[in-house]
Amino acid sequence: MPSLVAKAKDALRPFKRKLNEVLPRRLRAASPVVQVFLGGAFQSRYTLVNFPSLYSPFAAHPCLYDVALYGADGQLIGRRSLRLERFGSAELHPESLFGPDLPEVGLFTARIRPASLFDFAYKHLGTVTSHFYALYQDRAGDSMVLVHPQTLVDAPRGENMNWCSGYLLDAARICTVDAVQVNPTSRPVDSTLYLLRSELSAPPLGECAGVIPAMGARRVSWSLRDLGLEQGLFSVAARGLPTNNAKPILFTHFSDGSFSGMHA
Amino acid sequence: MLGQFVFSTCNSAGLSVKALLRNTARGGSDDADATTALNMQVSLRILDAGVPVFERANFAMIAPGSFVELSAANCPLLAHEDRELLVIARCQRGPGEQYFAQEHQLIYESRRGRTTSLLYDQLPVAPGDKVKSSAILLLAPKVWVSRDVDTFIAIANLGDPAATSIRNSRWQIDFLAGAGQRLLSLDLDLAQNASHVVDVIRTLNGRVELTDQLRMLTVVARGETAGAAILTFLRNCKTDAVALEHSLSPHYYMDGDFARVRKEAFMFPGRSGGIT
Repeated sequence: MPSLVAKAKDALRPFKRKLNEVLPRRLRAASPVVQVFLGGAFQSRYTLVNFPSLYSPFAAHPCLYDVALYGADGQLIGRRSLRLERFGSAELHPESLFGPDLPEVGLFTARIRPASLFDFAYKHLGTVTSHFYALYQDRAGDSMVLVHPQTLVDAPRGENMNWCSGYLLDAARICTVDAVQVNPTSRPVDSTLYLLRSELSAPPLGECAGVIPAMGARRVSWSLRDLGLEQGLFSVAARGLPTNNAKPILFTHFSDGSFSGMHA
Repeated sequence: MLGQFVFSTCNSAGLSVKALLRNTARGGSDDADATTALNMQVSLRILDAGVPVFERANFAMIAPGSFVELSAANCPLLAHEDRELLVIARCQRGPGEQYFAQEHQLIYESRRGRTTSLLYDQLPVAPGDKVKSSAILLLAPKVWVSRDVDTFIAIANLGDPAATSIRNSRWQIDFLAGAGQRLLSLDLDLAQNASHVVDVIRTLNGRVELTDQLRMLTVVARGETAGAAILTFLRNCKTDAVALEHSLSPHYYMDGDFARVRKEAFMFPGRSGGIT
């Protein structure tokens, strides 16, 4: 009997595939996209864009973004939905959405969906991923860091990965390095960050192990002077990442108080 | 194996550039495969508006796991503040012309010493008789302007490396406000094998009121190119801070019918003509 059912399913599969090609379908979105949130001395902005309408301008519709903010401990701070018009975009300030009492470090997520239940456009886009940019500044806006996201909620695991950033940073110019990690999964993850000289054989100068809570975040800070690193190139590495592309964002602070940064 | 790392000097945006050309495992992974145990030879070509101004076949030989710095120190042409240049570093590792992925690092510095850095992959090299232009889409929801902050879009626009005369390629660039209305459409003929920098505030020419608050715009563009590296810089003209990040191609946003998207995208109602 089970083999009969299997045979019937196999026989029907081409018809089902043909039917799926013909029938309309609502926008299919991948898991929420994830990025670091920084509060305290920093301000974070995120850029949401109605990209399906830009990719399909003759069938353009408004869209909604579901956004959420979590604290460093993984506790949900709030969720909101935002509407974007056709070809529209929005710059999102978490403080205006979730109030002024926000953590110093956290995790932000965004995911797009159709604005109407009866919106069946964009099937030809396949599965869409709700990418956005983050702009981090100090409160005066004197320094800026622009990054795109790297991972999604519950992306494939990376806890057994060894990873080394390709960025070579100049110790002669940098005072402090902050590495910020997020864990967009449903379980705590052990991760160890290393600060290494560019010569691969040299032992790590800095090492910081920690557990990142589920949907949480952590910040690791290294003073290069404290590490005895005042000249030469260095990079950051990790043993264990929450997901396979959940690399830290690096903030490099200079002696004049300004900073720069990049996704590692 | 072969690849080419392409970038703009961005001198016209008030920046100077330094590149760290690398011969390392992909993405900084520490599990290098056998191919990274080979030396990498770098030839260098620099062009000014389609005209070669510097060529050196044996610019550097980079040992496995190592890098070479390309800067004004070993290539004084990069120090020219009044010339916007396209730099092509062709990287050969082992025999053959098959593409190999290799990231290289760029470091841009403003006149007052503020820096920003970016790591990205080299491009494939098309065989000489197969260089052809195709449509490229740019979606950049990362343009900010204010009284102090401007955005510069740098397009390193490749063409046929064997071309003996300057050829142009058509580009359309639209600037969109938050509610989706189009502020400005540009139709440009950009020289191939050249670097072009769009100064957003200057280009908008008063179409956006500048205040103390940052205002975000979205830039969408289509162009025909044999290959391009497009960088978007934010620059605080008061503090000289700069920020830089990759643009994300449509492959980051979707996995469906790219040909249809390339055909339809950005052909807004009211848009004349188009690139097909």
